[in-house]
Amino acid sequence: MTSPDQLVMIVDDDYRVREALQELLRAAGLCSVALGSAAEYSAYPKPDVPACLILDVELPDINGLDLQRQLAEGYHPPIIFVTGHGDIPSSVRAIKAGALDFLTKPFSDTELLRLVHAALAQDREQRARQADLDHLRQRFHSLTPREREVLPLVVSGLLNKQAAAQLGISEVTLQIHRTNVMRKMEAASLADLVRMAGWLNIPASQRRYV
Amino acid sequence: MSAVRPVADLTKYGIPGIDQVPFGIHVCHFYRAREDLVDALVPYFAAGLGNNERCVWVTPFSTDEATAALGQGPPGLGGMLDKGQMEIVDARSWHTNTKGTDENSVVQFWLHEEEKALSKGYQGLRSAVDTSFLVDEWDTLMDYEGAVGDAIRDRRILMLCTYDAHRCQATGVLETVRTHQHTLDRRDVNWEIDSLVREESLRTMRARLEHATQLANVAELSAAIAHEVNQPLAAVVSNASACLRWLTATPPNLERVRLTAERIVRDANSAAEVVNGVRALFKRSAPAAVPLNLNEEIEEVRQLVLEEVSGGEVSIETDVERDLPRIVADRVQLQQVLVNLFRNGIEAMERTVDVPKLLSIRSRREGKHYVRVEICDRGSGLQDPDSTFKPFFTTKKNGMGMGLAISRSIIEAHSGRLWATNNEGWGATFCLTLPVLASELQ
Repeated sequence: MTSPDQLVMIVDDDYRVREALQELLRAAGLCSVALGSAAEYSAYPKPDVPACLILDVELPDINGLDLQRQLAEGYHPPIIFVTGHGDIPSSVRAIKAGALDFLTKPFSDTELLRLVHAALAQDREQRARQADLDHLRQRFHSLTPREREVLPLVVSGLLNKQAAAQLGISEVTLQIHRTNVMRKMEAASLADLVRMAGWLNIPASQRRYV
Repeated sequence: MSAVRPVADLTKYGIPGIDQVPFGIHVCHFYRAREDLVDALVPYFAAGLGNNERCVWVTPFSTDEATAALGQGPPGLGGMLDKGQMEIVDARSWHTNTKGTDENSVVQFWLHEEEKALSKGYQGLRSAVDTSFLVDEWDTLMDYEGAVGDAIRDRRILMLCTYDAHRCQATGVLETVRTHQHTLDRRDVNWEIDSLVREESLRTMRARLEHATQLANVAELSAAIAHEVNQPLAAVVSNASACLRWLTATPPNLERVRLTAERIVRDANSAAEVVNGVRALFKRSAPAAVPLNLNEEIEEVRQLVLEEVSGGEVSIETDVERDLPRIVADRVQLQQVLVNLFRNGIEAMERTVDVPKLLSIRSRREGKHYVRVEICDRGSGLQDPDSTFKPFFTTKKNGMGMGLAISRSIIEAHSGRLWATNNEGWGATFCLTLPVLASELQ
């Protein structure tokens, strides 16, 4: 099979459930992979495509909710929980920790597929945002050390004269750095640059004293 | 191939209350305490040695402890060890040695041991194997148990598998019962093997009560069963949905339709198997209505429940009417209801402070035709006394909400009533009425 353009990952310890879910997804035209435990999931080399995770709460090695907590530390696809007995405290916990939904077995196919499509869309969006951010980071890294010093001063709203004084350089030199920063960061305006600095978590280093 | 051997031969089982059993039986026993195990196995092996059988005990104790335990038995038991007729193997090393070997080689080991024993002139092989160190590899264990039961059926082998009850989950108990021919249970002084040797005289009060308490643990068991049934059911539903999709696709994918339909049959059957397993487990509870004195039942249940809460601050006070007319009921079921109501009352008082935790039980004749029992607690009372009887209604963290629903259906099946009211002040009272035995109406 060629690598899919999106993937549903199923983690459930019961092979009958795995098999049936895969069949259902296949019938709905979705590509899936089935794994039997949290450890298998962790070891599985995840392809770089939009994905979602259908996660059983009762896993043989660790509880699905605990796996969710572990995953929360890094990037992970949206999670749809399924469980044999839906108790309220666990579902509240799962949803609070960011799960898309919490289904009780047996569940309706339309409900599951609706959630799977929503999860894949959410991941696609999340990935696009991540890609934008990566691109932005690359641009930031293309700045020279001096330009990286100039950027926070500029986005703080300092006048050229004030920023130049801060760095002990002439206003003309600062103006050149500033133009380079705008160009390299592909910022259309100062407002644009301020927004980018926000995404990159660059603090406005100076308050403007008027 | 081994020579033709005499089968279906009987031997003395040795365990009190159980007479003779045929060779080839595969029995499981869940022990709660070390004493249970010793009490069962000392006479078990003593009988084996008496009948000149070779005996092997794969013991959860150290070999020294096991030897000492056997030493408490009849004289001569210890001496048999020296002669090599009896062997003690500690379970931990036994399981380490058999670990990784497939179930068939372990089964072959036992068959081989039997052949060796017979060739040395022994009457057969009698073993008790403890599984405590294997419960972590549950599936392997169950594969083995399934295989060994089939293999020894026609052999001169007695196989008693002992399980530490504290290390088994409810689903595990179900599976174990299913993989063994019989279950050995302690009934006070005497013991009983289900569906094998039954002497009515040995069925003590206690025996039935123990079974009743097992039944009363409905919440735990029903959660386990629900899970076991739900898994294949979820697979059936998803496969059926997929099947419909393949059917309505253009063109229909008949190959996938066939495959999914086959899986539906397979998974639905496995759900049915679970249900049958449950039925087998409960088969002893077939209703058997007998005349009963409710006061005696109350006292029995009170004793039992008190044992459970001993050490706690709960006290149970009874106020029973003397000369209460008898009623007619299935004792097991009635006790199940009483245990359930007593336990509920006690659990309701778990968070009670300031007032003493007192459960009051009262029995009275009600009119001419009924007897009435009241169970009154000092808990926080009921928010809605009527809805407490609905199935799946629960205020407990781990409850399924089946206890009271089942209790009510049992009482109603006995032409009685079960209801609840809130007390003035604190707590709630559960009341049940049952019709008086017809012959006592004069």
